[in-house]
Amino acid sequence: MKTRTALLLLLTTALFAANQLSATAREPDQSDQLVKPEELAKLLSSETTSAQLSVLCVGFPVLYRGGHIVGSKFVGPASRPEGIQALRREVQNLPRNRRIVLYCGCCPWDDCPNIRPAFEALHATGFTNVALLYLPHKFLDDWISKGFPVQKGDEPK
Amino acid sequence: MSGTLVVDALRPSLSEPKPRSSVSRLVITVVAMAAVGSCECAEAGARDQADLVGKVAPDFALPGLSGETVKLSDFKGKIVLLDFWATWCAPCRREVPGLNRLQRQFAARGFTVLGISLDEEGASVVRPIAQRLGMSYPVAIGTQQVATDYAGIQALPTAFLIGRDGRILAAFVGARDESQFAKIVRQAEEKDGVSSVVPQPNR
Repeated sequence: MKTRTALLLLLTTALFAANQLSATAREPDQSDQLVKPEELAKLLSSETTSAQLSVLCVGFPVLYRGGHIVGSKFVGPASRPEGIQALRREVQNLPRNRRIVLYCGCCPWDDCPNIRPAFEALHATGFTNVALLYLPHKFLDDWISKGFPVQKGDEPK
Repeated sequence: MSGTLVVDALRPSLSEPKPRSSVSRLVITVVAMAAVGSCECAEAGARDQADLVGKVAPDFALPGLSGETVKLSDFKGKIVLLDFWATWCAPCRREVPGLNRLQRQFAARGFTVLGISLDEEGASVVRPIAQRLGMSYPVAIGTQQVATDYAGIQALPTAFLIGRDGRILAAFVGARDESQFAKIVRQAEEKDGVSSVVPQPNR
């Protein structure tokens, strides 16, 4: 009986630890996994640094048309299976150490349904240099209203 | 709530944009009468929602949740709170109970909330969420054209208060609470000379 209890305790602890490790690996809370708008704008303003980086919009098409980061590419909402598929297609020919910045900004950070699935999908695919654009409120407040370069209206491809 | 932009044509004086709160909400006030009457039609290519205040609200004919056609012009003579939202937008969903209460408070006096969903999947996705949220006001399925006509929606929720004459009285970009809406609906009623009586609270 004692052995069974000990085994059960060990199993529970192991499961808890595995869950914690997994959460740590996926959750983009490391400083190098978050990029501030001003940092990204600076990177995009230089031809050299912008060429070394892919900026992908994993948000909703209607908001992308309303305004998006100049030089970014529309992938689609990563909260949907087709969005994840589109993301995988988009990056399939990129080197796994390519710097990729994902952004959405549809909603406040904690509410965004897209950024975390996109981040997880790229990590699962083996990409090692993925970051999220940190938009605490929404794209309008944290990028457009701050005067960073925006393009309006072109059709998501 | 942060980043909420409120542009309204009901305030009596012109003032510069100013911080609304410590979380950098902005209120931009424009002169009502200067804006009203400057154009008989919605301005094509409006840069943002502020440009539409004082203009005639762009009309549309959109499918409703039951397949019926919903036209803005069908509501002429009413004060309309046109609310752009989407099922994936958490702040939009959080606003619904307050919009329901507004509808209950003001509907009998010639007011309606009109929801425009920008979900691309259409009514099959929106209908169950609308039912779950208990939306008590009409909801139509929006198109990119409507989003463009309303100056290109850049954030959700975005709402417009439309007066009885069909002109846009105020634009709200970002989430806000119902008291803000209730206040401006009352102002719109006073402007129209319909009612200045503050309704009894329903809660």
